[in-house]
Amino acid sequence: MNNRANLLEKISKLDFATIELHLYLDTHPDDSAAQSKLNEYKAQLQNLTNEYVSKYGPISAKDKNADGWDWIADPWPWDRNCMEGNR
Amino acid sequence: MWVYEKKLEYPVNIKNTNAKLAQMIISQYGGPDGELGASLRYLSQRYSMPYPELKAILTDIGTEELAHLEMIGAIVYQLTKDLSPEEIKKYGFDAYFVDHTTGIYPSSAAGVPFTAAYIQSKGDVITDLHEDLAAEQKARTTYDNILRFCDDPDVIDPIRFLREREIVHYQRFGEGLRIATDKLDSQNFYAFNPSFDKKCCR
Repeated sequence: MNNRANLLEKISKLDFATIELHLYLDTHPDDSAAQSKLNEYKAQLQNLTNEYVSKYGPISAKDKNADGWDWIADPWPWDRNCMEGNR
Repeated sequence: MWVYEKKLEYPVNIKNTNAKLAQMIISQYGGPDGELGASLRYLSQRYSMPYPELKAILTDIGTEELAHLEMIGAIVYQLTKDLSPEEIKKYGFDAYFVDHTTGIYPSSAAGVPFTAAYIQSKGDVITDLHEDLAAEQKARTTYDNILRFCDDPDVIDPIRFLREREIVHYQRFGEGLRIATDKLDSQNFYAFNPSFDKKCCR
């Protein structure tokens, strides 16, 4: 696994934790412990996402492009080994 | 509105093709209990939901189902990439191939095209949430059935992830149903429909 894949894996794990806590909070809106946990994960996620976007290009369509219009750069998420980047 | 993220919710990286398995897994793309139906069902039902928690879970789960649709598409794409005509025939993929080549088309394992008749949006909170609870269990059973035919860890891993999400969504919908009934007449949950009979809504 290369550096790009490592970073993207960390981002995916944190992102999943935020999806799960977000959904939990929809039916438990008064759970302030879960909400602080979510905020903590979101802050970590933002830092890692900023690092990724500056090095490898946008994840979200709202992110900045790092090198020209690299939104269109292969690989796309359905490609084999997509987390590794260009082969 | 929605914003695309150029990554999967959970990684899919399948090294070996398997057209037979792809033909079964396509059912979770456009079959009767698949992810496309799930997403459309929840995103359509949310308009008539009377309580904020329910508007939120239908929006958020309906959105997550689109991420699952994309994972299923990626699984089928990778399972059928670079197949030879001999492999297509040998693994019984020829019937799908003749209509779609190796494009991803929303259909069931038996080749029935996706139809909105798979889903319901009834405009009644109790009815719709029961449909959603059943939908999550039907999808869970489908994933269990798919897992009976999987021996490739590259396929088993993301399918298990998707199966687990059905269970979590079932739990959230169950909580949603409890939230709804807590706001209704405890003597008779069906005394009025809070989405339609506005004056009765507390």
